[in-house]
Amino acid sequence: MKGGLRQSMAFLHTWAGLLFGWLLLAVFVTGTTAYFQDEITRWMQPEIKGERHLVASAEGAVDYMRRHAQGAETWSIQLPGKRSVAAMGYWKEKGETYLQWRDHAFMVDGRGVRVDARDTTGGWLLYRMHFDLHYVPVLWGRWTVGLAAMFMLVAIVSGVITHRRIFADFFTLRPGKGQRSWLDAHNLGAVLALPFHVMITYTGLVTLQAAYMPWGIAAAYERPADYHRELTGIDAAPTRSGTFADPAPIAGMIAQARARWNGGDPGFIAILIPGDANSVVKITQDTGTSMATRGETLTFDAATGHMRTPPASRGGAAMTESVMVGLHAGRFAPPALRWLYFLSGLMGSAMVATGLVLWTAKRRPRLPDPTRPHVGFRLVERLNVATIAGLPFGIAVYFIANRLLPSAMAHRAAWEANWLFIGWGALLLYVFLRPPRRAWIESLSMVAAAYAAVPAVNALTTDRGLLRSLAAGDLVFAGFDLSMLVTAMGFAFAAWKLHRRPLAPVREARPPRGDIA
Amino acid sequence: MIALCILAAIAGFAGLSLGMTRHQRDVLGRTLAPSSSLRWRIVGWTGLALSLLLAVVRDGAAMGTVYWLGELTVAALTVALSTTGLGSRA
Repeated sequence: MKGGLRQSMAFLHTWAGLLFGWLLLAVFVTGTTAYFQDEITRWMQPEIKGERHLVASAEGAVDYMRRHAQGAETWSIQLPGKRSVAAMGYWKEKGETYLQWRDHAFMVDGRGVRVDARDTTGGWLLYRMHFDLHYVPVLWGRWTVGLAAMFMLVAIVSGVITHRRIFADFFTLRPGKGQRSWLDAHNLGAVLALPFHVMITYTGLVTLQAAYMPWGIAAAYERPADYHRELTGIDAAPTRSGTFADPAPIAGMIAQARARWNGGDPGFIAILIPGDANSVVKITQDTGTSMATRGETLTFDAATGHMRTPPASRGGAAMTESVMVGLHAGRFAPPALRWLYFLSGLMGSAMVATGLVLWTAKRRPRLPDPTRPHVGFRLVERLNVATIAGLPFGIAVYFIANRLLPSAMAHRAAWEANWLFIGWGALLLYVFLRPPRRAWIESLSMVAAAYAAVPAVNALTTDRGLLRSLAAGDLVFAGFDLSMLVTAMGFAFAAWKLHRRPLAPVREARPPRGDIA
Repeated sequence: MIALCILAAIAGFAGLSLGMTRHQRDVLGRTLAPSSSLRWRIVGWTGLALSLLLAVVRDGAAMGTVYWLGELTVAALTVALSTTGLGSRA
């Protein structure tokens, strides 16, 4: 590469950023929502009310499965975390895989009573999109996102090298100056949350390190399963004795687990071969407010309720990995820190979005004929609108579909997800049919309208509208609806600003300079 | 306590920006003597150090640092946006 380090880095930064920019934007936006995935899920199941009572819901779930799933291979209970109300139980019949868990899933509220909530993937869908994408095999999704994260690291490092006035420009934002303003906004979003960007990209790669760098495991273990067993402390499944034995009360085992964890909550319970004399109960800790993310799993003999010898404490490497994953996911974060995470996530999304826009802003004045750009330029321009406005539009459509699709519909949860992509796809199509400037203004307006519609549809279809939630002091529901309105205002403001802005003056073509972007 | 931390960080970043000639022009409309710039920079770093100290005292070294980095982002954004506002007015 000619022209010295800085120019080479600028080239690398521009093209790595552009090629992965659209995907990275989707990863940043869905990842940012994931900090509130429990709250999103609660909003998407308005039927679930009341308070969280961990032991009561665990007992209720066991009781339900004792009546409906006698003879299953496994009973599983996902207990409500601090920010949820209901527990989810599901069982696995002999010969089924865990992917079929949805066929036998049910919810129990804090009283231990089954609730018929609408079938939804809730905030979990956006969380999974963040690293698995959608409609593609999980492994492909993870490899693609991992590759994008790798390039993100490249973009961060090359961006810092390229940005020569990083400290002199620290607080600089010059609005209304076209390309200059986009560059300022891009730098500001990047620099002000730089520790977050570096941390989140690096730890993101760590979360799936076993998928990206499997060779260490291959060198040290005969079978990958041995590594996972050692990491998670989960040993081989028990064998059936054929003798029936009713399991001991789950409350007693939860109490023992809590005593060992100094009052820490359990997060997940699995009962293997329930009803058999050899049945085993596994209780995994909900890491709660600890930064380390992988909780300890304790094993109990189901028939007696006695705890087996607890697993040995983990070594430094396993703890480091656990803390890094914890730092990435932010599950430990109390509300204030969670909002700080959320803000940094927004800054990251803004950094990628402004970077994408910058690519076109920088090149537009240099086109031979700016009124008739070449096909590559037009494609980038359109894809920018289709992603920056399209994905948020799809997410709003997802929330609206949650309220409008009939409760009893077959494959309801899958259809909610389909609507996200139908909304996104429709906007993409629209953008390609309109002149670029009109496409920006109109699609930003449509996104604003869609977000404004979410609380309205909620108020019309449930008894948990914004005014009632405010009156009842329901922070989750009121917070969700208010966030939708703030998002709507943000997009409306952007549309209005763009509408008022005069068309950029057509400038003489200039020879390219070795500057960034 | 979180508000106090953010305030200290805002003071810190405001001090740092006043120690830079570009922002002196934006905010004050003139540049300051090198000695005054240095004084603002000292104010700036003291503010940032104070906010870190407050965060660590409040939440311990590990959690406090995580909070602090998030609080720095809020503070820097506040200073950047208000500098922009002052700059466009001047």
